Amino acid sequence: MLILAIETTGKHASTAVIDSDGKYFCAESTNEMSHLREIIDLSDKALSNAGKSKKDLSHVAVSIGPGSFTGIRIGIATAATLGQMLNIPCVGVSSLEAMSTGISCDERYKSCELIVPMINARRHQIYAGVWQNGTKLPLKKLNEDRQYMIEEMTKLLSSEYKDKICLTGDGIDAYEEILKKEPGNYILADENIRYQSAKNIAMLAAIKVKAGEEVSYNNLTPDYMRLTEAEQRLREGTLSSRIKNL
Amino acid sequence: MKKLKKRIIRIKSEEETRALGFLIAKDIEAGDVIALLGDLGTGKTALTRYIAKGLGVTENINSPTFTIVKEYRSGRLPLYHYDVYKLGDGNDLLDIGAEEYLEGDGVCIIEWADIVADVLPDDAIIIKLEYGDKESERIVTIERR
Ligand SMILES: Nc1ncnc2c1ncn2[C@@H]1O[C@H](COP(=O)(O)OP(=O)(O)OP(=O)(O)O)[C@@H](O)[C@H]1O
Ligand SMILES: [Mg+2]
Repeated sequence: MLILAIETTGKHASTAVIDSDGKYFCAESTNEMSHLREIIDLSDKALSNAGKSKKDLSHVAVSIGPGSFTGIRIGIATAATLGQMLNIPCVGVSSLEAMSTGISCDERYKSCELIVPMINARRHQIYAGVWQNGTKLPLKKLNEDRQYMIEEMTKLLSSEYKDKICLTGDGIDAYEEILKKEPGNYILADENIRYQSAKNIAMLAAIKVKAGEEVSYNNLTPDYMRLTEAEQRLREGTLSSRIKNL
Repeated sequence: MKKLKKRIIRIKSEEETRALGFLIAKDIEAGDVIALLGDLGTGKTALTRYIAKGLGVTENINSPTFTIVKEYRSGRLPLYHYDVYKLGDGNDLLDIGAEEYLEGDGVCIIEWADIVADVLPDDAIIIKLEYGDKESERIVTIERR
């Protein structure tokens, strides 16, 4: 087994290769939002760090979102192309679940019962979910991962969960002021582990491969975590419903 | 949820559309998105032109029907003028890379915004243009959060 993982849903693109011994070989861009330009080079770099080439790959894994819409598209297109070209199966991984998994493997956050990754979706919105911290992967999801208002999430956390919570993701940076005002039992993930990283995608992909959760390149589907037009028209406050009711 | 502020303005002439455009230009800030609605020829491009003038844009504003978006940087704020008439839905708008502009440093004005409403921010300013009784009359509905 040799999996190449691609993560382009955040600001910095990254790639990672995981082999059958569970060893990782990673590469990350230092530039922001230059996914399209760099993703192929980064893939080659992770492979060459592993001393392997494309033809050695057994799977290609990709972060299917949520996150940057453009980034998700680039990642999926790249993974699908590689899957087709090399005739190997693909694995789609949730960016949020991968972020939680990354935290769960970090000693510093052992004391947290819960992990809440939040990706900034602008204008007080986040893509987020609640996972139970633990050593057994995959982690247990306690609350639906979807689009939330940041205020909705802090309210949910303070009313439903009394345990110590590790928050992670760029939603922390975007809504720092709001989070500071909320009296939550929070720990903020350190910046060196806060953001999307292909290593976490690789880790979850290896688990999914063992569970047989692989798909053909043409069945990789993005998860923008956006409401459909029909759903938006029904939900109060969305632009679609405002236009309908104008 | 913040209360919506809705105003309906009856416009008698293109001169008044111009005045409205200048007023809007004074009021808008970086990051604002204006969703322009209205049938063919109601004056979406005309209003955009006057908002642009009000922002201090010196270039001529033409309808970007074929290019979908045009960028103007000579004004107080960068202006991204879209005409999405040719697009099928919001995904098409994302395909041309609009996401970065929508969250960006400038003002986005989008003709036929109803087509792509599913990917526009929920707090976009809605401006709807309708024909009035006389040739140059227009009924303008503005709704903002
Ligand atoms: N009060 C008014 N406000 C704006 N335009 C007016 C007014 N009265 C007359 N007009 C004329 O109506 C026309 C509006 O054309 P414009 O291209 O701006 O419409 P549009 O809504 O952008 O059309 P399209 O749907 O083709 O993009 C112009 O020729 C303009 O001179
Ligand atoms: Mg026009």
